Amino acid sequence: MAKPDTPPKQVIFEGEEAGAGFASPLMDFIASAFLLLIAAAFMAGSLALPVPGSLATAPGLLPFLTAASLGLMALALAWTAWQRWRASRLLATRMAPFDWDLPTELRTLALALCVLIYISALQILTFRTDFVLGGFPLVLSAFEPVTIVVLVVIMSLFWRGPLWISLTISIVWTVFLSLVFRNMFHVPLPGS
Amino acid sequence: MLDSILLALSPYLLLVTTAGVCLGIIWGALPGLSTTMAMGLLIGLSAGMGQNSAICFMLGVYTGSVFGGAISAVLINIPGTPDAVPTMIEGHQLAQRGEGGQALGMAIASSFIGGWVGIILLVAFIPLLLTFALNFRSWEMFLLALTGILVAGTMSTGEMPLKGWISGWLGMLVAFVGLDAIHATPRFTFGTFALFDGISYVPVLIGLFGLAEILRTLPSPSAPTIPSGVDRVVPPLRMIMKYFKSAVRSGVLGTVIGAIPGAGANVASFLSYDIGRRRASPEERAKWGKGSYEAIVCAETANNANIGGSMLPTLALGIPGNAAAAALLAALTLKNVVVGPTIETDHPGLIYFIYAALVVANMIMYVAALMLIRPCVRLFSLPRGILMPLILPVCIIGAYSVKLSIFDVWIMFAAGIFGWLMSRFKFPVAPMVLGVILAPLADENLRRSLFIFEDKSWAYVASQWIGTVLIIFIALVIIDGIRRLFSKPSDPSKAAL
Repeated sequence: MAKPDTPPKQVIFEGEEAGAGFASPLMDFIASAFLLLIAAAFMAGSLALPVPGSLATAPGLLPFLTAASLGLMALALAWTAWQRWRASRLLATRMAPFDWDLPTELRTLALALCVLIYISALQILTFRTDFVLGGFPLVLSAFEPVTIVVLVVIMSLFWRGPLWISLTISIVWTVFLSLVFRNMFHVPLPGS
Repeated sequence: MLDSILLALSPYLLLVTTAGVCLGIIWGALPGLSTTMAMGLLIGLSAGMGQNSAICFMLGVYTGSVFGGAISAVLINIPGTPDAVPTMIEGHQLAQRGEGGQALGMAIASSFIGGWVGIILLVAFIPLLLTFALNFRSWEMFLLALTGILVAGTMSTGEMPLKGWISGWLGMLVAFVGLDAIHATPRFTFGTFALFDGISYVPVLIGLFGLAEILRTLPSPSAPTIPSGVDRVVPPLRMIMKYFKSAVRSGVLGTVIGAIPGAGANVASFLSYDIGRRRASPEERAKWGKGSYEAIVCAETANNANIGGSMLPTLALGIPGNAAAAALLAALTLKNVVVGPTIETDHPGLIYFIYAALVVANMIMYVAALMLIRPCVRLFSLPRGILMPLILPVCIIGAYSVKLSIFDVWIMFAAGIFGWLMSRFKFPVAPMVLGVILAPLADENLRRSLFIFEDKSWAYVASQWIGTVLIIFIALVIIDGIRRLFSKPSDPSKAAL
């Protein structure tokens, strides 16, 4: 039974997406600078577009308005960041400029590189071999070997279990996906 | 309608729906894998199916995954989906007292009731909304698209709607790439032929919700979760009847919230939980936060009723109710189904088939949920380092299968990296998806309406009363957002962040 003096747990709604909201002022400054650049680029691009009919139907009209309002929002974001930075100085609160954990970010970078290599390999190494096994038509393309290798590498990076388990799971999963998409739903796979 | 139900009950479609529901439940139950991610990634699988099979499959996944979040919430105190947080608070307390099975049983029954409330209200109100939607012309459609993006931005970030709006605006800019719909002028293509066709929103959706989630969760260190045991799952009828009134109230609330573009299952679940606490008897209110069955009923009924609600704007106006509905819209578009006010004339009978598919999916969900709880408990013991990499090839196939183009896979990769960066800078990603989907609608309709209004007076524009109401609503949303921007954060610690 729950203890009678246990305080009830609080449920706080932070928005439809948990985690979105206030970042450190420095991160919000960086974000607003990036957004201003994007806004400026799109505004310039919109103005450079031809106007075949009247201004009301110009292809660059809504892109220009969107980019201009994005620029204003970026300025507002920078303003809130500055307000919070000033408040933290007044309160003499120590701020972490980035709430990032370096080892985790390095692991993320390694994972992103694996995905980059995976897609590049599927684009470069294209082959397809059709064969029949027990009367069942099958296809072997670059998708299968590349996927197996990439999955084994990623699993080895993020799981300390035996290699043979990673290899078995990768083979079973790749063959399963290949059979379901190619043979059952006739969806071609990349690398073929 | 009877024909549609019989069609949805045909053996093949029944099998496809069951597969969708089971996949959805397992997906939703696994921590870190959201409903939208399930819907986004499985678009690829639905691409190889016929129109009816794709609808049954996607609705099955939607129904199953919304419930699935409750399983891990109750048994391992980690919400499978964000809307299962209230269920986690109450359900895990009950599980610790050895009542986990009954808590899950109540969650299943509530989800089932919620599903029905959502479907009944959808069937009741869609003819009205469709009739009303026929009054929407270019100006109103532009304003409605803008409303959808703004509201999605506001709802996604509780204290800082500005970041939600920025996310939506970025999505709009992405959608402007390609040939414009009126003059076929290439916009922001930089001479790249592959960009002439524009950026398809399916790879963007998969990147933002699939790859970005893998990049976010896989490298983060996490302790293995140990599932608690689960006893008898079927809840007694007496308990269901006891909370039936709360279930119906929460169901209606969940459906109404679902019908608001941008407001999804999370808003429905949290709001219904809060209203349920206020409306509960003093004796029941004392249990709130310590393991209350009524609280589970409120949260689970609302988030499942939200499915029917989100279908209302999606089908009647072509404006997705939430990000998961946006994924469903993408799957329908791949099958050349254009939803909106003219859906009944463009695709006669389709709307009845969608009702029937929802009914069948809800029935199957009840049975499948009872059968899948124990296998799901076993899945929780799988390390994240094994589970998450397996999703990667599904992302690749999903992005590739839309146009059989490796360029789309690169788009997915770019969207994934951008989505990860957005989450690190604490920007929501759902409004961006809505921006990508709604921007072409907004662009085309704004230019058409400005062309119509070119030689008209301001009084004429103001006389378009639906548009004027929408402008007032947009102004109120913006004013509320600006007010929140100038007010201090509710949590003092955030002031120094």
